[in-house]
Parts: sequence; structure tokens; C-alpha cells
Amino acid sequence: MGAILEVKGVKKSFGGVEAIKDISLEVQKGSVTGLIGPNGSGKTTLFNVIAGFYKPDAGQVVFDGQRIDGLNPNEIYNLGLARTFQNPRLFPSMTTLENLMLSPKGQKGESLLKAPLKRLWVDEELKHASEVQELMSKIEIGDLYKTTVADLSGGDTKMVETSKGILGGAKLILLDEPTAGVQYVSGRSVFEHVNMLRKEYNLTFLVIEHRIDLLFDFTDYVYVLDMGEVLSKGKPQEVSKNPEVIKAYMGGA
Amino acid sequence: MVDVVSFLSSWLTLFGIYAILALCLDMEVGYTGMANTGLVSFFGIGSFVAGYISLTVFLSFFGYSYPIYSLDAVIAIGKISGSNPFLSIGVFLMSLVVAFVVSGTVGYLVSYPTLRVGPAFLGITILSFGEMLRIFMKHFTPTGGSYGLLGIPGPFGWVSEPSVKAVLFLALTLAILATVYLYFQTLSNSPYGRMLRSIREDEVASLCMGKPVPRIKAQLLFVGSGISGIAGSLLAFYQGSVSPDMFTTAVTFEVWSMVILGGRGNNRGALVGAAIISLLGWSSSALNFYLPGLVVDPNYIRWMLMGAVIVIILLYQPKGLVPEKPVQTKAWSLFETKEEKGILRKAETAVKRAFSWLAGRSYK
Amino acid sequence: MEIPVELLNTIWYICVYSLMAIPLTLSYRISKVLNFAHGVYVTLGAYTAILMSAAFGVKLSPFLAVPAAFLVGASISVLTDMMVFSPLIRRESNPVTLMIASMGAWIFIKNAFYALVDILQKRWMTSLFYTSPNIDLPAQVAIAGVELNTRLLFVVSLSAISLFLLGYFLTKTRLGMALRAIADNLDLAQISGISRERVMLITWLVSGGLAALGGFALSLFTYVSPELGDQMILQVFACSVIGGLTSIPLTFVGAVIISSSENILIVFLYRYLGIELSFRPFLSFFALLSVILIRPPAGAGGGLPYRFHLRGLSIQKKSDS
Repeated sequence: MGAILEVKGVKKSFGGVEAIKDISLEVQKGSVTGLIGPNGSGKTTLFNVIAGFYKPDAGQVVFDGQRIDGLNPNEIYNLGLARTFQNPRLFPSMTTLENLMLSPKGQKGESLLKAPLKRLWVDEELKHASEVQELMSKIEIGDLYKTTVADLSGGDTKMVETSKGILGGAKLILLDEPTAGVQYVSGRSVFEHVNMLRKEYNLTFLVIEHRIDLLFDFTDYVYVLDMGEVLSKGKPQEVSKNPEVIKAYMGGA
Repeated sequence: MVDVVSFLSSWLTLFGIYAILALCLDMEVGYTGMANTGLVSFFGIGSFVAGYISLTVFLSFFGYSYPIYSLDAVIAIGKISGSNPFLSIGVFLMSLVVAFVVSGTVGYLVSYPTLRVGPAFLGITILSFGEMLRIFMKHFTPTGGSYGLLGIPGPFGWVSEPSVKAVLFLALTLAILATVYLYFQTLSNSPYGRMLRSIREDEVASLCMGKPVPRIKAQLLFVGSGISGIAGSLLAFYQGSVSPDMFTTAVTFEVWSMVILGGRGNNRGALVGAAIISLLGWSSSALNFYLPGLVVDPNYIRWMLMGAVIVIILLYQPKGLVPEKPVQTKAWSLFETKEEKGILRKAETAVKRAFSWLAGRSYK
Repeated sequence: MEIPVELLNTIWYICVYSLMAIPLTLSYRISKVLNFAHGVYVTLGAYTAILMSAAFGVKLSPFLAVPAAFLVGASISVLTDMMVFSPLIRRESNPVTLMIASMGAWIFIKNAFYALVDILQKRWMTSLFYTSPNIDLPAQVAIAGVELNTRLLFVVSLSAISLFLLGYFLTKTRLGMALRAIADNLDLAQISGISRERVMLITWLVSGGLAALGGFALSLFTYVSPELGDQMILQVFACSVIGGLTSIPLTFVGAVIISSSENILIVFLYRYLGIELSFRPFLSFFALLSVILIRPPAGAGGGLPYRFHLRGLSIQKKSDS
């Protein structure tokens, strides 16, 4: 197996505020790893650092054996690391089909010179389209291809947001609170989908999530952050019994 | 009725030129979300390049060494501009190409500092750049300073009948317009067009899906500015003269109002907007010509209307008159069912029937 | 002692640019709209006195002209907001749309005004396109035995008093502090019961009024035309950009810098490098460009989260944990 993502001694401050004091963690290939902690513990900042939005003040981020700290977000995506947003950032005036057709990387039709010559990219386009069709049926939104994303329901939007990186050859997906805004009872199905995608497409997930019950059932390993540092780590069952973790959650969240 | 022909051809030629500009701006703003408030600079650069090249080549070809902005040069050009059709057309084509390259390069360079900051700063900077360029050109003697260049030899200088010349030039302009339109249409209905739209909607999200956003914007600005330069060349050859004061920010606004009126993100909309606004401009000039001394100068009314149009459209119909359609690539064919295609097919058949009836043949 | 004319001009322009640029910074900071119509408020302020004195054929008292100009600028500004900006902001339009809408408003108001001046000029048979207001101010006044140019004194006092009042308003009054709160954190301000509409209204009122005062001040020492506000728009933008479009004190610094470059630096450049005086605007443009390249303002209304100038603000649309 082995670690697909390694964060080593990362620090990040913003004008005097230390968002991340010192974080080191590993995400095993093929796992669903959880990242939890009270608000302000640095989870989203860490995501932003990993995804290339920020350059860490110190430390390294290694993805699939390659250092990615300091690379641009688009370069990181092309290496196979996709980032999703807590408030889904899709392209509102475009249809679901178009949104998903944007995922595949290195599309020949996306070059200024090749685009007018349809013959050069039409085959690739059709191949991508059938992949999209397959994905959409797996996440059960097959007939919504024509719907403008702005008109999609909250749950469907979340599903599209979660899976939009898959067709770009993502190996690791950073999920930012996938059940935020989703009705309590639907939380399980979100994670069931995540599990299914993991198996179907051979993915690894790093998830920021608050719901402990879902973490128990669906994650293999959990990191608890507090005040910019790793407070505790381990299997969810062990971590939830840790008194310091309980104190952090009760006090901070 | 020579009058009607000349009026019509003058309106349509200007429409053609402005439509090209509107298409460029639509690709930049409507498709990609880049607020290009300095469009007129690239338009102007293209004009001056065309004037400079054609005058220089003509004069040197015939062995004159007057500076191109001098009176002697104008007189000399008057004598030689009709003498060599191949030269006229050759110089014309060459000017177009050079104008494309120069305007495009300037556009590309300008994009570098501005596209990484937000739209407010982009707007101010490009606008100011346009004005700076104009002021600079007013002092730049090699191109005639504030007087500019006169007597630019057009591609049809060798045609003796003025109305034939006008119609030929109109046909040429419309042909170029059609080419640009087709090019932008194919570009839009491709993964490239899809990518541009994603940048407009949310550039950060687009970046996170692997699209090299600044590079794409710079590329597009190169093409858009270059083609605006071609439009500028056409203007220079059409009017026969260029001067810096022809290229004020007012021109940029006029094109903006065309794009906003017609609808962002679709090329047909740009044409519609260009048609309406250029008609407005033309009618106010016509009014000025035939009914001088009105209480209010029609020009002011025309600009007031343009400003009002921009605001009203943005408030009530922000997508413009012609609605945007999803990017049409082959990908749809996998999803489309036979029924949906049926409606389109019926419309297609009806149009084909109409055309063959006009052509006097029966439709099979 | 002979005060060099360049220094005098610099002082004039510092006052005028401050009166024009600070309200622009204020309005952008609070409404996030880059108002291209701003220049028009300046023009209208300048013309208030002119039209009033032409209409009634009298020498106008400056103490009447000032509030009148303020009123005109403030009203047009508020009107523009009510008809254009507020409806768009309510629909959550993006900054580009707002900017373009302000351009539309700019063209409309400017040309409507042009038409008005054109009509009035024909009716009153006076030249209104390149003129000065008829203000009742003696040419010089003696203070402490020194002969001073009254108009300069008036403009300096006007600017000083206005800016002082603005500063007081923003830092000491409840409404003023609410304005600043809204700029920094909209959600928080709304929760604490401050009406957003009211804040916006006051912002536009103050901003339009001050700009108009700037125009009036300008009309005291230079000939005005309906293009007045737009001729200066680049310089005004430059001052505000130096202030990062958010900081009022820095905008003042910008006014000092731009004014000095236009009146002092250009003279040196002319004497030693032969650069013509009409190249003044280039200096402002270079200042603008340098700020954007070297220190792009934080949260510059968008922009990409790129490595080399990342600011935490521009990335997520809503606040995140």
C-alpha cells in the first residue's frame, strides 16, 4: 500500500496569526482518511496548502513521491490531486454534462490552435463523454445531463462537486465537509457514494468531517487537529475515546 | 439612386468593422469574463500599422522618400495609388497580417500585469493604457502626431468608379467578418469554448480543475487584440486616414454596449448588438447631416441612449437579447434522444424547403 | 519671499485630488463598486456655481456655492445608487457587472449634462463650454501682513475642513463607524442591526458631495469644460490605487505623490530631459502601474490565488472554518 500523500512539518501563518503551527500526517493509498477538529484548528488552511493555494512557510507536501508544495493549483490537479469545496464551486450557468466534461485533463480540444479543427479532438471528446455518462449513472444523476447546474438540488450538486475530479485522473480527492448542508439522514448515503467511488475508480479520500458516527463507519484512519497541530491520530474508535480530543471538541467547537 | 447605395454601403461597412470588434470583445468578456476596457487601443494600433505600412511601401516602391505624414507624400500617393492593383492588394494583405501580429502582441503584453489582479484594477489599468497610448501617439511624429496619416491607399485604389470601389470594399469587409464569425463559432463550440466559459463562471474553480487560467487568458487576449487590429486596418483603408483622436474610450464603450445589448457569450448576439448600435450611430449622423440645428444635438441623445441601454439591459435582461446556448460539441450526441432531434430536424427541413423554393427547384 | 509657482500648484492639486480621490476610495471600500461615474460628480460640482451665477447673473458668494455644489453632487450620486447600483447589488451581481453599469451611468449622465449645457448656452447666449464661475472673492487678502492668494487660501481651508469633518464622522460618530464596519465585515454588521441600505445611502451621499466640492475647488483656478471630471480621472484613480482603494490616509498620500509628480517632477523632467509638459498623465499612469505590479492591493476584488501574491481573502467565497 504505502502513503500517497505525506505532509511533513508544515507551518503556515498569516500576518502574525499562526493558522498551522506544525502538522505532519500521512494518507494511505486507497483509504478514506478523516481530518477532524474544532473550528479554527487549521483544517481548511491545510487543504489550501495541499491544494497549492498557499505555499507553506516551512515543511513539505509530498504527493505520490513528488513534492508539490509551491506548485500551482492547476499543476497539482494534473498530477492527480483534486480539491473540492465545502460550498460547491461548480459553473452555474453551464449544464451538468459540460461541468463534468471539464474534468479530463490534457484535452486536445482545449488548445487554441487545435480547437477549430474538429477532427483532431472529436474522438477524444466522445470517449470522455461516455466516461461521463458512466460516472453519472453510477452516482445516479444520469438524466440530469441537460440541467443547468444552478437548477440542481443541493444533494445532486454535492455529488457532482465530489466526483468532478475523478475523470481528470485523480488519485486523491480532498473532500471538504461533504455532509455540510445535507440533511442528517442523507449523510450516510453521501459516504456510501464516496465508498463506491473509491472502489470503482481506485481512489483515496482525505475528508474533513464533523459527524463522528459517519467517521466511525466509513473512515479507516483519523487525524485530529487542534490549534494548528495534530492532537491525536489513529482509528476513529480509539481517537474518540481520547480525553484530550473530547476536551478539544467540547471546549472549542 | 447613388445616394442610397453610398449611404447603405457606408453603414454596412462600418457595421462590418464594428461587428468584428464586437465579436472579439464578446469572446473576451462574454465568454471568458475579461473586462477589456481598452479595446480601442488594439483597434487603433491596427489602424496605424496599416496606414504606416501601406504608405511606406507605396512611397518606397515608387522611389519617393518623403516622410509619410508630409503633404508631399499625400500628393504623391494621390498619383500612384491607382497604378498597381497587385501592389494595392498585396500591401493590403500584408498590413492585415502585420496589424494582427502587432496588436496581438501588445494585447498579450498588456495582459501580463493586469490579469492577475481583480477586475476593478484591470478595468482602470487597461482604460488608462488606452488613453496613454492615444496621448503618446499625438506626439509621435513618425506617424503624423495629432494629425495622423492621410491618403492611405486602399486595396481597390485602381478601381475608377467610386461606387464600385465602395461595394467591393464592403464585400471584402463582410467576407472578413464572416471568416472571423466562423472561426469564433468553431472555437466556442469546442472544449476550448467550454473552458473559456468555466473561467468566466469561476476562475478559481477552473484553476482547480487543471486549467492554466492566466495562460489561457493571455492567449485569448492575443487573438482578440490581433483581430481587433485587423478591424482597425479595415477602418484605416476604408476612411483613408487615421488620427489619434479617432480612438477615444468612447469607441470602447460603443462596442461594449453592442456586446451587452446583444448578449454575452454568443456570437450571434454580438452581431445583433453591433447591427442595432451601429444603426443608432449612423442615424444620428444622418440626422445631423439633414437636420442641423436641432434643439438637442442628436449625438448627445445617441450616447445617452447607449448609456441607458447598458444600464437597463444589465438591470432587466442581463443576458442580453439573444440567449446563450450550451457549448455544442459531439458529446451531446451520446445523450440526445431521437425525439429531441426531431424538432431540430423539422426546422432544418423547413428552412431547406424555403431555400430551394427561392432557387426555383423542388426539394427532395 | 517669492513662492515658486510650482509649489503653489502642487498645493492646489493636493487639495483638489484629495477631495476627488478620497470619496472614490470611500465608495469603493464600502460598496465594492468601482464607480466610473465618479468623474461626473466632479464636473457637476464645478458647474453648479457656474450655472447658478450665469442663471441669476450675479457674483456668487462662495458660502452659497459650496453647499450648493455639495448638494448637487450628493443628489446625483444617491440617485445613481438608487437606480443603478443598489438594484444590481441586491441581485448579487459580480463586480465586473457593477463596473460596467457604472460606465453606462457615466455615459448617460455626462451626455445628458452636455445636452443641458448646450441648450442653456444657446438660450442664455453665454459661453458655457470653457468658462469660470463668477465668485465673489477678492483676489488677495492680507493675513498677518502677508499677501495671500484668496482663492488658494479658500481651497486649502475648504479641503482641510471637509477632510477633517470626514475623518471625525468616520471615527467618532456611530454612523461613521457603522460605515467602516460594513466595509470590513458585511455579515457581522448586519447582525448588529445596522441597516445596509442606510449605510450605502450615506456613503454615496458623502462621496458624491465631496467629489463635487473638489470640482468646485478646481473651477476656482482653472477653466472648466464638461470633460473636467474625466480629464482628471486617471490621476484620481492613481491616488486611490496608491491608497490601495481602501485606506483614506494613504489616498491622501497618493494625492501628495501624484500632485508633486505633476507639478514638480514634470518640470525637472522638462528642464533636464526635454520631456514635454503635456506628458504629465504618463507619470500618474506609471505610478498606477507600479503599484499594481509591485504591491497589488490585498483582496484586490478577485484575482487568482497564485503563489507570488496570495492573500487569504480572495479564495473562498464565503467564510470557512
